[in-house]
Amino acid sequence: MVRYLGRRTLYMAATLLAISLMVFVIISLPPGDYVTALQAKYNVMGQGLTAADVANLRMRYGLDGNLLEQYWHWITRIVLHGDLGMSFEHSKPVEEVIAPRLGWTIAVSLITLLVTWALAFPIGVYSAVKQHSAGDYAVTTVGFLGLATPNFLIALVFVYFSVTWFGTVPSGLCSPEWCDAAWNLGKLLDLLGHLWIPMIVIGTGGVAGLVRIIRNNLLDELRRPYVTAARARGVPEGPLLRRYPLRVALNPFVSTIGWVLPLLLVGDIVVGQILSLPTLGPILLGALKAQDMYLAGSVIMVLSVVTVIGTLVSDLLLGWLDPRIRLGHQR
Amino acid sequence: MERPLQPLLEISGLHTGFDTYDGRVRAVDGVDLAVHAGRTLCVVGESGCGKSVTARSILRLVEDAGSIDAGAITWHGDANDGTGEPFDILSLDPRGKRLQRLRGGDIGMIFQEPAASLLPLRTIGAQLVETLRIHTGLDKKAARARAVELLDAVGIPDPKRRIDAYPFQLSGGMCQRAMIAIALCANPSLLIADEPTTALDVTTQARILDLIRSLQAEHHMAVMFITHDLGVVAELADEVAVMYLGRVVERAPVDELFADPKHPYTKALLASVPVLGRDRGRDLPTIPGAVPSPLHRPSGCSFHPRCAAAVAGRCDTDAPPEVDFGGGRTAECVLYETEGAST
Repeated sequence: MVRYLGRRTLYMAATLLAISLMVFVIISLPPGDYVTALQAKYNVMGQGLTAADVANLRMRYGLDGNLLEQYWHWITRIVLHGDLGMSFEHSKPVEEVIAPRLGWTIAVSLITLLVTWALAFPIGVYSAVKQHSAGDYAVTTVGFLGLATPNFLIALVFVYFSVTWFGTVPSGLCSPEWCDAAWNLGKLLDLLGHLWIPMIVIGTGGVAGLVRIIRNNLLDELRRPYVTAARARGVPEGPLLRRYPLRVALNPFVSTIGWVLPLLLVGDIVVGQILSLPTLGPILLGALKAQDMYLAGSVIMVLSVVTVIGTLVSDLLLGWLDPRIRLGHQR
Repeated sequence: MERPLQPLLEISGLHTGFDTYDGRVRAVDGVDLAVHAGRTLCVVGESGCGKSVTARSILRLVEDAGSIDAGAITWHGDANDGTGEPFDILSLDPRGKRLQRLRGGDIGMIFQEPAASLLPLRTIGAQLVETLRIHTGLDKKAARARAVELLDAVGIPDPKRRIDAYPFQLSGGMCQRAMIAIALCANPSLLIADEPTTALDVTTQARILDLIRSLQAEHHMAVMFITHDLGVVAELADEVAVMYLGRVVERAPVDELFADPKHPYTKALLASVPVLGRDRGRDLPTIPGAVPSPLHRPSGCSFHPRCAAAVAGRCDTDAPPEVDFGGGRTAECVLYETEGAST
């Protein structure tokens, strides 16, 4: 087990190194850099920058070397000092930009995820067990709609009705009067009052997708000979469902953890933007637009680390759930 | 052994069909069978003749899209041992306690693919103990001890260790032994074996058959054995029912069936069994044509298009009469119309 974990860690490090190089190159691919973007901004405001200003700025931000040098500078600082670099746009260290939003991001996403699972699991099981019933058809139809509607459209619809009916835009996670207040019951209630909108917006697609996965997995398993055999030896229907097909149908569920974790962190980028949620998504979008390369690169690297760790976690969980899966060469 | 007056299990007029896109398939189309306590009934026929569906209908295991349309399946087990009245299994509550006790308690069943019939994620011990506890009410520890005994009884070596083995760690033969242990854990009075040796190699097959035979003698139970293998029939059966396209076309004690087959289909079936030495250098006799689709059942006798003895103007129009020769022998064929008491 220790050897397996050691080997996996080694692979993970190699994967992350490859990802970091790719990420850095791709972020630098668009012509120009942060200074070019800055230059354009100043031009719009009517203040031209001299060539000397530009060169000075380039030097200050460490953008004067070639791409490889920049990459080397960035990655060695991360690996050796845990320093993610400076955000040009926010003019403070990347950590300070990300950290305050991380908590909110995880909170919003975790709650959404738990609600999604809590809803999707029973609905999926119901619609598989009662296949071809009126309830199944209703669930499937609603599911198709939910799956086919992009989250940002649902968000826009919410914004539209909120403005036309209440005259306000649902934004953020707290009302202005509570945002800076210390935690108390009032703030919590205020938060809950705001949280349900992103939950519904982000959750709809998630529930619809999961219901389909669970339904299809379970339908596959319900027709296996072991189900008939278990029924033939008198196992009552309830325990039969729980102990036999549901256990097998759980596996694909567990293997999704790998890509659910990064989703937790970034939240839904476009929805976050529309509803002005204090999550990482809008930050990443802004950084990419402004060519704030260290910030963008760091956010993506954090996501990659979480993805790789999530994959390891789901592999370990699967190995524990399914005795047919062997980790490495053990046993 | 003295035969009780009532058979243990009596199937009469069973119709089981499946809905398909092309219409309803009548997989079982009026089957009458009786299984007597302590005896072995072999149901033999080609693929798709309805023998497996008949077996599954008994325990109400017909899968979705299929359903039992008509008939009665009477269980005389309770009446025979004086604990109750005979009842129709088909009228039981599908989620009720009696059907659940019948499944695995009164009737054990084993299947064609032993490895697929066990859940790969749980040990054979867990699945055996589960069944034991459902039907015997033993506590966990006692059930586990009993499970080891059962695994030993079905010839699994080193049962103390194998009880914690997963199905994929065992061979097909071992899995079938484990399935037999599960099927017999509550001392059922009937074992339904649905082609239990088809997926196994010949040596394993012979050992499993030996095992079933010795367990049958030990527990005095009846066996309903579904097979397409006439060799297995000769070895195991007391009585034989030959099925063709959803109907029983001939019934006979095993010796009489092999010595004097009545129905042309049975004759052709027996003629197409290869015999060592006899068939050297000549083609194996076969039955011409193929089994027609049950969707397009031929009119009259469903075997007439392939029958060498078919009577034109008779077999292709009228359903054949069931001729009773006495002594448990019947055949559904016009050729014997004058011989027995037609029903």
